Amino acid sequence: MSVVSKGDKIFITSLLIPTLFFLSFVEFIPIIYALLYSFTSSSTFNPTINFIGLNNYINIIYSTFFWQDVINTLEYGSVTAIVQTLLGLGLAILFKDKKGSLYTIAKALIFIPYALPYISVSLVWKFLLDPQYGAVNKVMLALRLINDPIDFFGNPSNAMWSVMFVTIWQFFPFAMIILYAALESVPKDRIEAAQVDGAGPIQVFKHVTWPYIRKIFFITLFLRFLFNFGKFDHVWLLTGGGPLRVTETLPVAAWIISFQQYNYGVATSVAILNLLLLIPFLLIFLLSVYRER
Amino acid sequence: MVDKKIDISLKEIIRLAIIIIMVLFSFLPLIWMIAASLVPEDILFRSIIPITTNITLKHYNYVFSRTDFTRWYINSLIVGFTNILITMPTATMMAYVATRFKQKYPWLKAFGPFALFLYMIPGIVLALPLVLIFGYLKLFDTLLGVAIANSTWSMPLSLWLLWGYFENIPPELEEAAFVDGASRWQVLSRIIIPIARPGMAAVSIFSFLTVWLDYLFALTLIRSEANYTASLGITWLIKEYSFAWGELTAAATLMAIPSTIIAFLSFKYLLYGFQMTLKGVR
Amino acid sequence: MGEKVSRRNYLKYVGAGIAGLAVGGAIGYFSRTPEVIEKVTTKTETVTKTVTGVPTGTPTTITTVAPTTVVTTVAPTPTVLKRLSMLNEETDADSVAWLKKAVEAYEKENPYVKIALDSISVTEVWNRITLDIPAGKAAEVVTLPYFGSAVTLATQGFLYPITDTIKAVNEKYKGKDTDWAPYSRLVIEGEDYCFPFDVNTMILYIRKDYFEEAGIDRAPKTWNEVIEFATLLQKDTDKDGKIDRWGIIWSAGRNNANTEQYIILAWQHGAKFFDDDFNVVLDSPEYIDNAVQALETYKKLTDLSPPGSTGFSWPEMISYFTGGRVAMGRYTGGRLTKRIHADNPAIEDKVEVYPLPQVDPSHPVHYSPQDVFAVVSRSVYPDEGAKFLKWFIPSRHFINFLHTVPTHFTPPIKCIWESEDYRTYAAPGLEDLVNLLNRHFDADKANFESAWYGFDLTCEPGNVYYNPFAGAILGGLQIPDMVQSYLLGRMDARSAVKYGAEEIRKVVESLKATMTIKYKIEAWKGR
Repeated sequence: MSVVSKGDKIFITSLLIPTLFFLSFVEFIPIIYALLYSFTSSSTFNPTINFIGLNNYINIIYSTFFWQDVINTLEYGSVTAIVQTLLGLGLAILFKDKKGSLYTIAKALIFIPYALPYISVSLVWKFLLDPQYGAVNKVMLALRLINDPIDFFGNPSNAMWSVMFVTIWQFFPFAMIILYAALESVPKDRIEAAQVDGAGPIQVFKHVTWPYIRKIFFITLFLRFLFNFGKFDHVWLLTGGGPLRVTETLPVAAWIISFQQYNYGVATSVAILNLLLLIPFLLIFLLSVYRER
Repeated sequence: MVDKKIDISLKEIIRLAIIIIMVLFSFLPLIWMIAASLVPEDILFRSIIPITTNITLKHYNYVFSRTDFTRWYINSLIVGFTNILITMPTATMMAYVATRFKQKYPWLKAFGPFALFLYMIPGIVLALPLVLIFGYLKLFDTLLGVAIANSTWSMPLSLWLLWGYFENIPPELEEAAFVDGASRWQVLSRIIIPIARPGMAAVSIFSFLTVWLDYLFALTLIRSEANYTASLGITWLIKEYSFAWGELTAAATLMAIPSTIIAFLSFKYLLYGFQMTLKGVR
Repeated sequence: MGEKVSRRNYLKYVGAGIAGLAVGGAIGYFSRTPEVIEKVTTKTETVTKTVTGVPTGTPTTITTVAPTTVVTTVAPTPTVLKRLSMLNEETDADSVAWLKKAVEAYEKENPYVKIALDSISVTEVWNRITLDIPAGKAAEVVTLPYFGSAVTLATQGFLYPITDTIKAVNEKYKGKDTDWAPYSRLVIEGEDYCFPFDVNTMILYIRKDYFEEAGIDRAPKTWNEVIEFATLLQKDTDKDGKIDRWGIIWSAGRNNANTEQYIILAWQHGAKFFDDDFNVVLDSPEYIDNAVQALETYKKLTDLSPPGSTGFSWPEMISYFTGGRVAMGRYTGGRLTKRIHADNPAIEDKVEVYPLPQVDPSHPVHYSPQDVFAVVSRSVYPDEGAKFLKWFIPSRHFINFLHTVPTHFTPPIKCIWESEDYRTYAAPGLEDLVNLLNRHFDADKANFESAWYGFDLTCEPGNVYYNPFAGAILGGLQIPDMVQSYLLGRMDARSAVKYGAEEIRKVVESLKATMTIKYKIEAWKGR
């Protein structure tokens, strides 16, 4: 296997080349385009290569809105990732070792939200959380938990939490599946040995299970963070950037700048910055997870 | 002995209770959605959970007869399957090559991290330039264009999944076949692919889901009504002058049908696929 | 495992089969070549041959040959089928239906043209256009959400002249230039670039019965009266201790409804947004106090509105009023009349329409934007688009379209508005709506007349030129954010105005830097 035969070379080239070509076309060329236009002063109507160097970036970095957007994006990405993964872990633990059709149905029912279109999810929750007509407010009022209806999406103090809630609701099943798979692959004999030694469930988890799934847990956490950091759909569909821009994340800002303020150069700069901001997190993640190899 | 039994029962009851709560947490909004699509709108606004004997199909009737929803639904299905066709073979081939030729081309060791890098690219970074690029290539406002754009989402995750998966398939299996004189292609098709089927199924499911859920790429890259996907189609029902909640929930319920099918039929495959991948990641 | 594999196999094959069909269908769809329609023409030529002789002394016979008719059949000239699209933002079901009928009629007469009608909500249409133009797939014919949008596109040269349409209208209806309301036309170097199909004035709707119940015998003329009346009109109809009927609905959401309301209040208080060089002047010493007062009036009105007003938009304005939960409401144009007629006809005779209240009744200022049709030059067949408009506007199909939303689709063009067709003709199926129009003729008249004294942000009171950046602000979030900052208590009024003005200034500066404005267009005066 160490010698690559000629047949192998043909094999590799015929498999690798078209796919690499496709990948570069679809992933890298757009990024290069975006990078290029971020150095220009362009109107969305007619993007032209009209270089102004780093001016867009300088203006963005000196503006107040950008740093607020960065904080919002970080908050959105990290909180949703942490809660999703923890919730997924909790459920995975609950489902561990449980076979039977009832549990399978339960798992599938929990999984359905993950497979729903973002617009359906957004519309449903927009109504359910409506201050006037939404079931959530009506139930809480009826139970005397609150005195006045809560404005989930219109109150600047609540809006981000509400958006994060909907995102968590939709995506935590993904964490549940992965962590469930991880839990199931912990060798049973080690667990039994520990139990025979008199360890309680918490100790079993801490000393036997956790070391096995620790890596997966963090991989899931980071996957969710990377995914949510650049997510556009939920925020846009639920609040469009929120009352007073409190839910404005970088993707939403890029969209608004591009299509409401017609400034293509600045919009692409914001998008590129969104990408660049992820790189440190990716590096930390890769170093910690893959260093052991 | 008796104490332990009671302990177990209590734990089991709590466990069951929490599971039921979580199932309700995930599933109740969907029940609301289905119910809302079947009742007249004034009841929807007045009640907490719209359950009434006054069931009406007029919202569904509206969606089917007064809008092009059927066509948009089919468009979504077409784009979904096209994405599967794009992503699955590509990811399989790349993952296979990456795992089998690591020794010869050490840079392939970075394949996993590379896939993760692609996964993290925010959609908006791609969507903004794709408008221009697809404009030049006449792919703007086409279903194929949307499928290609969506593959930027599904490809990285699929690569990562299959890479872990293939890592977990011992090369010894192929060695035996090589010794017997089989070519790589034969090895690939006769040995690897049958074993990799669950992983490929998982990848197909994800590719389809990426398209089914997507809003950003549909919003950016489609213009004519004839080419709307179902996600855009629902927004057509959001008129300026009134939120037609009955029709909106009806359309949303219709869109939940493949979601439910996937959740029930393919949960197993997803699980299996992930299990194999995770073994490979270790 | 064997059994599972075959099931997986089965699923895989079925899936692959469907996918293959799907892709095949997709490929077939994408690779379709433009259809060719054969047009056979016959040409008839008359050939006359006369033979004359020139006598040279000798008498000769002059013979004339009878003219022969030669018929030549010209070989069929294949004409490529032209596919156009029309982007329509009027999503009322009737409007869409009658536009479709017009398009179908046009296609019948012109078999080499096919027009795809895409209807999209008003909030989305501008996003769509800004996407389509760089992608090179703009719709030929568009309805634009604000007149300012047409100016934005025209000043950059993205619109196609439709002077023929204007001429055809004047010809059909015997119209003169003075028939066209101020700000209704966009003329650059002698060519027209948009057609204003309606004017919508911001007006006040009141529930007469609620007024009588509260002992108020007339409509409010000033905002102070509005506030006074609204307080009296509040009611707790089911005696549960909570108000469930409010005096007025004054929305404060993050949308254009909010923007409009603030603009008119600002003008009425004496403030102004832009000068004629398109610089932001809202926070200048001359106008800032007026802008602050306008914000304060805004707050007083939302304080009297149903709770949650920071989430309200057009749908809430309509549903609260038709649902009888507010005594006063406002709308830009007469669409609410139709919504009442359709959703709650029982209250139709209890509703009255009045001009918008004023800050200073001796110096009234009204908000009267116009919606326009235009043809985008960055499309595939703009000339065909212009041809369609030229056919559509002078035809009865356009009148039918106007009839679909009575008292809202009021043409700001005297010769059309006064025409027989507009007043009395009712296409089969539109009788009910034409009756509605005639029942509320006074409202329609008021809407029409307002076109002569109302304003739009595109050209504010005191300015001469159309502002190419107004569209971005009308559809933008700067003004709603400014209003909400004050309403939600994040800033005091003065800081909010400064913040809003600064945000507007930033956007306008970036627009000035990126857009290539080729023309500075003088506003149409109507004289």
